[in-house]
Amino acid sequence: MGILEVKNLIVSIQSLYKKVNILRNISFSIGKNEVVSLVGESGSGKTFTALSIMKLLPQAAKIETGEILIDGENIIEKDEKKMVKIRGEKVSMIFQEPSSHLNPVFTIGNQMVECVKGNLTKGEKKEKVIEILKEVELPEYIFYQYPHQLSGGMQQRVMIGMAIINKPSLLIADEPTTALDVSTSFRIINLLKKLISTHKISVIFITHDISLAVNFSDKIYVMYAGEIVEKSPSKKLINSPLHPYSEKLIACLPEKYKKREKIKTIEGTVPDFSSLPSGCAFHPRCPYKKEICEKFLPEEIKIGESYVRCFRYGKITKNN
Amino acid sequence: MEKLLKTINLKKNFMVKDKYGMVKKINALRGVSFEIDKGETLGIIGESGSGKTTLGKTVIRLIEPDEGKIIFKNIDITHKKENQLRPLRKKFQIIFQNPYKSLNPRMTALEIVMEAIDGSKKEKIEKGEYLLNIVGIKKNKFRSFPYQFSGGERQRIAIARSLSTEPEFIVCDEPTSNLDLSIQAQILNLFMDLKEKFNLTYLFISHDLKVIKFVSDRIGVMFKGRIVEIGKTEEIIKNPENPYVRELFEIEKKQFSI
Repeated sequence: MGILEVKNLIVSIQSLYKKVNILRNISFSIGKNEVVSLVGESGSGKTFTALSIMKLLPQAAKIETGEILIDGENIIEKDEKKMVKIRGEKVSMIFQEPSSHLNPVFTIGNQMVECVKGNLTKGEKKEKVIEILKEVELPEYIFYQYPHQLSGGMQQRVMIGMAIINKPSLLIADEPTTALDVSTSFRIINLLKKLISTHKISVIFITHDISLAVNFSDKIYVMYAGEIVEKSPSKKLINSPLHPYSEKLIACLPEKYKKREKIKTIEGTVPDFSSLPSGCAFHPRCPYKKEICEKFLPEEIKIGESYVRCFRYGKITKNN
Repeated sequence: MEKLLKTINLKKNFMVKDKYGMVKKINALRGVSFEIDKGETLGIIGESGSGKTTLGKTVIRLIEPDEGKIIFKNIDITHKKENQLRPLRKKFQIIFQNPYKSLNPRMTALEIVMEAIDGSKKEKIEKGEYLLNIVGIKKNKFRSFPYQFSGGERQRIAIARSLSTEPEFIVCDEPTSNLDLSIQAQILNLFMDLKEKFNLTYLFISHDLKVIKFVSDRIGVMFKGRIVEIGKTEEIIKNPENPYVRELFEIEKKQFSI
């Protein structure tokens, strides 16, 4: 039994005139100490998956059906009061841009103390924060400083510190390094790796950088148009991708080509959620398209250690 | 080979007010010298704040340098007055990082591209449509406004606009860093195609070593306002001399190699 289990999750968003499903039947689980990357282009639903696990979805979005089990508890039924307890203690999240998630008018110490849960005195809380600051490799005086006095990398360290201060069992990192430099992001990734192994945290790592995901995580889940189209162990995905979309996406990496070679691109563009193609959402761009792909939605098929949603590997169908 | 662009000891300081209202001097460029041959792509890589963008803007005189010389096609353009520079400006262009900010929201794609073309209205439209076609914009979208395009398409329009004056030299300032992986691949391909078609020279600025490795003939590494190492792509990657460059490549190898 995993730390997190998501079953048949459907999330819709209500716009002015119509309702569109932006997560379409997502199921996955994350085991203990497992690091999983969610990979996909922008608009594929990576962040929405994370937000629904935190139950931090925007007002227009609604969980239609499905279950999200954290340590066996279904959080969909939980009200906000109970969620506040779950957030931080069981799941916590690091966001993309640290500067916009820190309050500019309070000191770092003040904000971090606020995060500490449990019945502790002020002094004990402060001690705990300073301990965590040490762990994320920041000096103690940061406690008394304001967010604007820190660099981007230091701010992200503070965010990481806040996220792990209550020892959650699951950490969601939503593109924690995209706003940072190459060398800074390297140090942040190394810090994350260290913390994951010392605290035994499971991680959902959201990124659009496949090569980073391969080096960071055990498994990669590829998302396309609100669906998980492939779940594979990292090394396997990069060497022998199963789904045509993963295959094409990996072929887009410029480092796979010599100079002056033409990069193989994916024809067409990511579909709009309000007018998704029938059947398999990838079929208009797929080189292996068959007749069946236009009519039916492929079910998940197990091949070795991987799961894939594609008719190339079998014909189990469900009426769309 | 003919040197298209040459800079000698470019320096630029900015006076910036910090949060407390104190005036501070920032040395964005501390003496940058390099040369670009005709038809070559020089990749500039460096961290944010290392002066990459300032360099890109300075060599085409969007920012005035404090010291040093810029020589474009054997003409010293460092101190040319704006009206003298005008005819030359057509020969160098820039493509910006953020296609969401660099296009006028009140003009259609065709109008954006047509704006800088000389000639009668008919010629303008003809050439504008030809350029949009080359960069891969669909014909039924020629008269759409920027908000109706995706990020990749907008960047294509920006590229078409930069080609409209028939330039020889284009500064590409992180043109793909706001784009998705699959779109990035398309745009990189487009850059390479156009280079051959129009015999262009690029100064390609990026913080992404994978992209720089792919596009450039030579690489210059910037660090704190200086080019600390410059040379052929393969040689620099094989044995970098500068310790900062070595560290940068080491990281890339550890973190991103597949």
